[in-house]
Amino acid sequence: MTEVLAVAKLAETGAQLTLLGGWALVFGALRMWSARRTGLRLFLAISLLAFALGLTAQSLVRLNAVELNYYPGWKADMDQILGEDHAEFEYSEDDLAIGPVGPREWEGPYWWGQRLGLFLGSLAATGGFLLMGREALAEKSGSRSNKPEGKGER
Amino acid sequence: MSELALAIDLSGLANLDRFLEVLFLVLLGAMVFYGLCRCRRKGAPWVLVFSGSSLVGFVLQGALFLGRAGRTGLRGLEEAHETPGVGPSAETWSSLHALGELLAGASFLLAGIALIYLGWLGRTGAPK
Repeated sequence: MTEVLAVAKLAETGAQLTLLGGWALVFGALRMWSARRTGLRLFLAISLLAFALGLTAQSLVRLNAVELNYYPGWKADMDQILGEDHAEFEYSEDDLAIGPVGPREWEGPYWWGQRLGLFLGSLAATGGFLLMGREALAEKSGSRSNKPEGKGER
Repeated sequence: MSELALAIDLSGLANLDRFLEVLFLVLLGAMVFYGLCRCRRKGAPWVLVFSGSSLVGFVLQGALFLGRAGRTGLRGLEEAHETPGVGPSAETWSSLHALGELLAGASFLLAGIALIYLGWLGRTGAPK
């Protein structure tokens, strides 16, 4: 039992550290943007923000801070369970009047928003990091080609 | 083997989550690329920390992704119990997975902190 708890605690701490890392990347990108305000750095900061928001939504579910009952197709599954799998049971009129308890209204947008944030954020941030890497390479090769001229002038 | 293949969840939702995990791996790969592109400048320890921890995160997340795929495949089978000489049990794999998650999270956080320092270096004009 203690082992199981320790394993769960390790995984929970890992999820918390990943979440903190996501937000640290956002602050790092914002700091880079405030150092030199280019469009590319702003793009990276915004895409990392979208990624961090998606990651936060995912982590809250993983850390059991938010309980989600929604998933696409939950209604069809519910109808199948009540109407087909348990068709042999007789329900009283009171039971049928209550109806199945579905997910709350905000759970659907939360579920889709989490995945949309992760999808768009990670895709755009990947592009941002790749473009910034290419920019760094171009700067490096530019400074190298300038060096011999500088020496000649001296 | 065919029993394993049949037990793997290939539904649309499971594949969507797998796709998002692959995208996270691609993001880590792009972070490694960015770190390597900035790496050759002298006196930039935070660039090394950024690219190193991104690389460690990439390797660990990749291993966790493969491990999760295996564990999903094994979900339908009876879990093995700890028996001397039989090999690692489900509990051992679970502990290793949790430890991997902890280390991957720590390396991702370290990469984020390194990026904050990189931004700070750019702002103050400190030697890069």
